[in-house]
Amino acid sequence: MMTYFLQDFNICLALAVLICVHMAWGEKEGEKEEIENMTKASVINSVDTAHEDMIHDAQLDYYGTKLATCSSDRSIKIFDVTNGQQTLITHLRGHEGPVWQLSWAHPMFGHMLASCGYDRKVIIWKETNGSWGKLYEYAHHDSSVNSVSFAPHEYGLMLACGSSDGSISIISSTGDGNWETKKINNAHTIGCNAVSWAPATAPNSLFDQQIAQQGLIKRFVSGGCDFLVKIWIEDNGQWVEEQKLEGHSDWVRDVAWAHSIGLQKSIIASCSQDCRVIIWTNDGISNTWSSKILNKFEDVVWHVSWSTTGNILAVSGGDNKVTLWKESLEGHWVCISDVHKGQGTIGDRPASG
Amino acid sequence: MAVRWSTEQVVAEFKDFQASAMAVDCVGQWALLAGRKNLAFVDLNKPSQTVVKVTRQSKWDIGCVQWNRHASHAYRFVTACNQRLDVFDFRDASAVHLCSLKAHSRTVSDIDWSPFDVNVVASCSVDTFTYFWDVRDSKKPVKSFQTVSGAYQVKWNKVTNNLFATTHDGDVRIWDPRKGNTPVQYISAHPSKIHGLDWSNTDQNKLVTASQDCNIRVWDYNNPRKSEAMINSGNPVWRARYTPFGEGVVSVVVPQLRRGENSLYLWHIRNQASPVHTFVGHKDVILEFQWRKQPEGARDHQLVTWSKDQSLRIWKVDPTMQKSCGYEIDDLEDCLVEDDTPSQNTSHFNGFESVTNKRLDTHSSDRTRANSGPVRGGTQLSLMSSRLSVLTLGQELNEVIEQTPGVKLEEADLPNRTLTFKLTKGQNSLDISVSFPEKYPIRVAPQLTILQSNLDPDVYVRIMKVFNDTSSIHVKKNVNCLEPCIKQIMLVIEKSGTPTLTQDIPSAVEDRKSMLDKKFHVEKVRQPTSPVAQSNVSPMYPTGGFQDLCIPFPRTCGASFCSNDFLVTFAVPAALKKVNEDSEVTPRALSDLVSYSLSQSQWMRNQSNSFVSLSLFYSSPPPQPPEGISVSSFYTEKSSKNRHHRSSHHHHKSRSRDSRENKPDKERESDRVSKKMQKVGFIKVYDISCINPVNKYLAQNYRLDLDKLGETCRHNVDVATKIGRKDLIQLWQLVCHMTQPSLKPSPNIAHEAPWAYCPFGRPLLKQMLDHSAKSRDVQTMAMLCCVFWDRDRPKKDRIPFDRTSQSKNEPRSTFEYAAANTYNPYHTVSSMTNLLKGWTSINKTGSATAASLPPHTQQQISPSPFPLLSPVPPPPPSSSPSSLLASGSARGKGRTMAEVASQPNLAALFRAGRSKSGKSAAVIKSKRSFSWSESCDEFTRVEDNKDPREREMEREKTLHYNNSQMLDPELRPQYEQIKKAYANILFKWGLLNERAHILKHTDSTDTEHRVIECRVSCFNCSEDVRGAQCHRCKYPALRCSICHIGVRGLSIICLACGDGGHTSHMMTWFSQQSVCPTGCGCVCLQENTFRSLTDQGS
Repeated sequence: MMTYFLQDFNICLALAVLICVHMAWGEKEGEKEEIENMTKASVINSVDTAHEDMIHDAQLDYYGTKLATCSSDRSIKIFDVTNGQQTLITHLRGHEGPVWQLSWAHPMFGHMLASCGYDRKVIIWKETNGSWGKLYEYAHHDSSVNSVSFAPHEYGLMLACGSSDGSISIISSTGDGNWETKKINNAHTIGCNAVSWAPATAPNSLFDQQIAQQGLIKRFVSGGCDFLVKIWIEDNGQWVEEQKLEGHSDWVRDVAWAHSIGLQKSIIASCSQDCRVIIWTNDGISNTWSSKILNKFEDVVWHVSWSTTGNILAVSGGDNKVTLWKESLEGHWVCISDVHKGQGTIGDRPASG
Repeated sequence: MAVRWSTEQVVAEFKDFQASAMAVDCVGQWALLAGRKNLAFVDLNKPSQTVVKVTRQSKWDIGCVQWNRHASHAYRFVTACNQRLDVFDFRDASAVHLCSLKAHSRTVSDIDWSPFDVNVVASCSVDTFTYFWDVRDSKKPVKSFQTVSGAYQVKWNKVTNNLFATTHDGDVRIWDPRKGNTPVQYISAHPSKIHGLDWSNTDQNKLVTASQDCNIRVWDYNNPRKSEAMINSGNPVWRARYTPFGEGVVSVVVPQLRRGENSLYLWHIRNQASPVHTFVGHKDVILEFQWRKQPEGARDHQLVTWSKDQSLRIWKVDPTMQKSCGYEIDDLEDCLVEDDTPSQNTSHFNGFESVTNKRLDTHSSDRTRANSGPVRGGTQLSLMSSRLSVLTLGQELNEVIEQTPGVKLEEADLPNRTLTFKLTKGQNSLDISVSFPEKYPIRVAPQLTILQSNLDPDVYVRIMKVFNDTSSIHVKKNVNCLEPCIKQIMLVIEKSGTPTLTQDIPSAVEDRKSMLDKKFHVEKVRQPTSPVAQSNVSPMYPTGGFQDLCIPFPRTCGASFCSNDFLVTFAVPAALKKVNEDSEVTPRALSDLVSYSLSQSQWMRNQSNSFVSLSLFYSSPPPQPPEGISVSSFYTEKSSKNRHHRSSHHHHKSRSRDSRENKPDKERESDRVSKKMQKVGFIKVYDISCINPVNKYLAQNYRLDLDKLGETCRHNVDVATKIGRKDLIQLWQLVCHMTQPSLKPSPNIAHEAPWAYCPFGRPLLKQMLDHSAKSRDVQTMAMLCCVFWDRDRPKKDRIPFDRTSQSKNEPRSTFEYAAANTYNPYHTVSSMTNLLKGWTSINKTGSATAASLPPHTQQQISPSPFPLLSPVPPPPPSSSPSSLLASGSARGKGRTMAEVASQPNLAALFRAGRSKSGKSAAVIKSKRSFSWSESCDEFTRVEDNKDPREREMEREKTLHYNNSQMLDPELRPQYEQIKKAYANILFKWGLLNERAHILKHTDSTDTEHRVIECRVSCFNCSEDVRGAQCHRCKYPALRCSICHIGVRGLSIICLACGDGGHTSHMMTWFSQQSVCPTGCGCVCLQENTFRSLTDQGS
């Protein structure tokens, strides 16, 4: 029996080594192709919004069929962009100042969109019977509301918004048409610039079955003018600061918590006025976050966005350029493309532009 | 002429100095002229004679120079040259270099000696730093303050210590050095660059700013939102400084303009329409002007100016001129007396006329003044007006009409001192007449009469009150009150909302036509073009206020990943570029935007206008500050500069004036149009599926069938081949090998090492998963998790928990459960049944069959449920449970005992053989997941009475089971999460079937079902049934109360009486009836609605 086992083992070993080599080759090949592919990334739609002033945000809905845009002309437009078309669905006016950011709710709540703007308001818009209208207006901030973000649908209809008055509000629907708000005062001194929710399956809760049964742990990350990135956690209905991540040397302009793909690791990207993008990672076991500077850009970085699987980061900033970054298998971040916005062309390296 | 242009002046020409800066020392003796080659000291007492020259060698001009402000150190001065400051002592006709102060990295833009500390000098630079230096310690600055943008002016407060101001483009920051690098106040003073700043000599809160936007503003720094006064000088202002007397300000135009505007203007802060005096004489632009300190008792003041024409002039400012700036030498009563004397009146009269004459003269002579507005009123009104210490009625009138929008002068009856206005705000209009008594504004208030209006009568009362209050406050101070009064009235009108048209207006003047006009007007306005226009609230727009300081600069470019495969990008069109392209980074705060809003456009316009046509320039209105500032002002057309050059070049060539006028106009028009078109870029949606690790095609075509794994793998290889994913082809081929039926684990512990424990079992799979995780290929991970998922596992995991907890409460269910499982060949306790049930299904496909199980397993376990099942009371405490079991098994076969004894050894052997990396058994045991250990605890609680050895054996079984799994059971929750994450992605693609298929391969963890469970008694055998089927007679438990047949599908049950039936039947019944169909008397409809309401309430 023993000899049989050994023989078997040897054959298997040979086979597996072969296969491993093959796999490695295949991966390398795949990566090379990806870079080549990126140059082929096609513009499938180019929408002329006819906004009268600068656009500050554009978001597709959950399925990628509706495009919402907001602008300094104080309005929001929603387009149907299915199959390359562009039909204006609605033109929402209701803000009294420039509209900074938009966020789509999960489709289980219907077609719902939240917007925030300079006029200190957060407005939740909803489609009912084919027509869009205001569902709720929140006006309890003392300064411009810079960021709005719907929570993962597992928490119910809930959104967080960060304002220049330094506070963060968490607005949630009680289900009977009423809204309940919790406010974190002085979350960031001077002002809060960005909020982003952690995926509903926060890795730390994976093993703690008891906690998982009590309910999901709600977390979100925020960035502000105090140069800090802060992680907030709900504890007995109260929002408390869990972590304070120091690394930036100027205002943090945006934060983005990567979508979960079921792994323990959490990743947060933050970008700042100091022209840097920092990737924060947590292994899901300890409570420490390690930071890594993705790159120092030539101009201010305004926005970071993770792809669905969290392997690509889109970075955009004051230089009017978009770059895509991917983590290689060795753990280095490489720029895989460079989208020159104005021209709408994609080059494979920043230098080429 | 002498009176008009200036009072006596002293002129000294210094041809060879080429001085770029000038300073007058604090005692009024020396003027320092600093140039690139020389420092020249001019004795102001004998300006044409005494000159001390000190040569210097430098390739840089001296940017600014200042004498120490303290008489004790009056000999000391500091010069700023490029990045360096030099301190000199000037004694005995020679300048001694004291020290150099170096820290700035860019050109020093301004310096200022502290008025309170003899040794401290402040300097600022465009390198964004402001430094304090102590001249005794020249190595490094004693304090430094940093801002985002470069500083252009630094000025100490002259009244109070520890306060200074810096300017940054259009902003002013007020600092308290004790508070470190945080300004105590922030004033976004001008939309364009501020060239000059000066603190008041007497009031610590007041400062004046001069800006590129042609305005001079007076501020109280405690109120940063609104300037106290604004003087529009018509030209970009280089410096504005307070006069040492009264409320005057002296201003000079930006020298770089070289527009031939070589005059200094003296303004009275309260008279913003026109300067009270113009110092004319210099032949070129004035570079610097400073007040010379006068000896005690002197009534005159002296102003020293240095011009590009290389002449130094000293101007005398006599008491008359001082008075015109509001400087009252005597107290108020004297003033009143003076006002009454006719001689005084005439002198004022003359003074005024001279100014206006001069202004007209200026226009005709060098045609550079842009602001023709005040002249119109000024000339006609000065003839009848009698006062200059305060504004004349005409001047006031002009001011009101210019400064308040919506005010229209209907009639000006100046001889009777009555003015009629029409005020319109939105849809409201109000006609008023104001009569001014003779003595106004010296403690006499004007009177208001409301002629007609479309407002409510009670608004009239408010207007009257507001008018009286405001006017009385102002005339108490002998200040003109028309403008503030009108403004207050406008506010009231604005607040009063929409008018009621039907009301009776106490007016006789209104004729039918105007009524119609008004109605039409109102209706036209009412037609809503947009909700914004309709709302009464004025739109909030960035204005560069204090609040904007901490609002981040708006994003104009961004990229977001949306849904699965889309990247949405927006940006500024390629045709636009940043205004501040030269500076390094984009500003951070919204307030920084203000500086870009006007500077560009206005500069351009001024420039081009000077070339284009003078008539156009004259008629163009003075530039208005924009209502709101938009981010778009931050961007400008890339080609605009070139175009401008081209057009200007064109003008030089062209001689014809007409062509000059027309062409650029058109060009600019087209510019404007194209700019508007290009202001907003396209939003681009990219398909990034080529770099996305998850692939929609794969998602659609992957097959997942756990019963035919080989086929599944081969199919998936084909799918991967189709899209050319070589890595996936390899992977699926490998999976195909790994899922060979022959590698299925044997349930028998003794049989063989499970394949999972071979390096190519679980470790290889782990490797594959880790590899996919690195590239975050959740699709592959989820597929692997599904393929190797053990579908029988969850039942075991869950049911023992439920059942055991039940068994504690009601023992009957345990019996039931045992009975229900009678088909199981093992006849064991519930938990074990499940365990083995899981194995049997494996055995079906595996090599070993259930029958091949060694018989001792059965026999050995079978006695274990005995204590639970038997009606015999539990053994007395004296007899240990182990002895009971031992006796039980001994009764069976002696051989069994030997087997049992040998079993642990076998297990140990097994473990030793399998743990290839030398892991001890203890390690494996300790690595159990929480969930599993919990259920283990449950076992022990129920099976308290069992033999510990038997329990040990069961644990071995469990271990063996865990070890034979390809996926590490320890990481099971994580694998579940991966599958759910993938299901989520499928949902985004709209692949609902695929999603459901993946979810079928997950352990359902939603144990908590919050539903109402109906317990009905079986109509056949009257047994209480929880489900749809009676477990005893296997008949549908619920009988429809309409058709009396058992319900197999959907049913509706009344919560009150418990009767119900087929959904369709019940629907039909209750659409007409409200009582129960069984006739039990229950009003079901009512009961249920009531209940649902109360349920919600609670």
